[in-house]
Amino acid sequence: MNSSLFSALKVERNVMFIILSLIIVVAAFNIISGLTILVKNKTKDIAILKSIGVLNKSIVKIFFLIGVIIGTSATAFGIMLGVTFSIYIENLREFLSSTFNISLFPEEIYFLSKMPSEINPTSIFLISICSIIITIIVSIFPAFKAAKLDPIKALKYE
Amino acid sequence: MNSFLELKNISKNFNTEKKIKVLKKLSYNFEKGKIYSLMGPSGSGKSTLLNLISLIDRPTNGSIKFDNTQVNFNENNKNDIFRAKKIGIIYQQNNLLPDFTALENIYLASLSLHNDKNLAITKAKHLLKLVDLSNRAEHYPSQLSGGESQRVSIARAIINDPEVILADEPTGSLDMDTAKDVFQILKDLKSSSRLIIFATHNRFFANKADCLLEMINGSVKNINV
Repeated sequence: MNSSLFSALKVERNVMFIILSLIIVVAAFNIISGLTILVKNKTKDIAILKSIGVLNKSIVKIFFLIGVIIGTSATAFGIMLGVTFSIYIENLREFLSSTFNISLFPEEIYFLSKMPSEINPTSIFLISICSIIITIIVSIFPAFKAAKLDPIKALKYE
Repeated sequence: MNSFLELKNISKNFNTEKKIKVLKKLSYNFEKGKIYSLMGPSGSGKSTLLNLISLIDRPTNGSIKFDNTQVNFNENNKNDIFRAKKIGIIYQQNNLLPDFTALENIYLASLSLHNDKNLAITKAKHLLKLVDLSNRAEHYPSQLSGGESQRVSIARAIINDPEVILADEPTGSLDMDTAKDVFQILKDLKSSSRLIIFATHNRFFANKADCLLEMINGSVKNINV
């Protein structure tokens, strides 16, 4: 009897997965573009470091670490925000409903007295690991780009 | 005396819209314990030659030998370590890292080589005293004058006690009095175990070197020894 409802929920779940995956892809590209701009802005500094004998692997390490620090701290911040949001989701719904005088998640449509929310530590752990791994992977490209810079051009033209 | 740095048939071409031959089969032997000045008009190849000697750039043809050991320009890591240990570079535009203090700018060169922060800071403080800038240790490059920045650059160049000091127009952007002070610091670095080469447009400073070299048509000519 409820097969169409379960089917709709399944579709919704898949769509949510695709949307969230796309958000992660966009975030990953943000890290790449942010680091690439940083490398571009620091071209002269990288050239100076090379001229005093700093090894390419050290330069890779610097930019790689920046990417990892950004990714890890953003993941931690995101988890804190997400968990807080999940805990207080009902309070938030009530606040938004009363403030803007709109009916959010109406009981008569969803047949639920309050907005459901579940904090799943395994999911949080898996999502954190995935985010950090993606950050590590996307930080590699700008880091190698920094190490490949030609110091002569940078010192001459910057 | 045996030559420490041997340049043999060095050519350097730049392939822009048309091929520019900056250095043409340049050969010269440099000895330790001497200061060499490199003169020549703009575009004569002074900076290019210094970039080749500092192993930042590679020649199109020819070979460079340090202490009878030929440089392999394909060994980037080895050359970077060699540069950190044996070569100190001073540029015209001081080229200090703007986000670091004078002290940090100096000790970074030692830190990258020895990975010992305490040692690096101790050496950097000693060098700041040597260039008379102890009171400017915590100042950023934007808070230093041109002469002070150049003195910091010199301190950074010598923190690893290099056997070769290369200065590309170190006094080029300074007034005469400040330039004289900076040049005196450079001159005081002369020792029997060190080779100093500086490029300059200024005949006054060029004449103070032990050997005056002139870049002519992509080659180098010894004016006096």
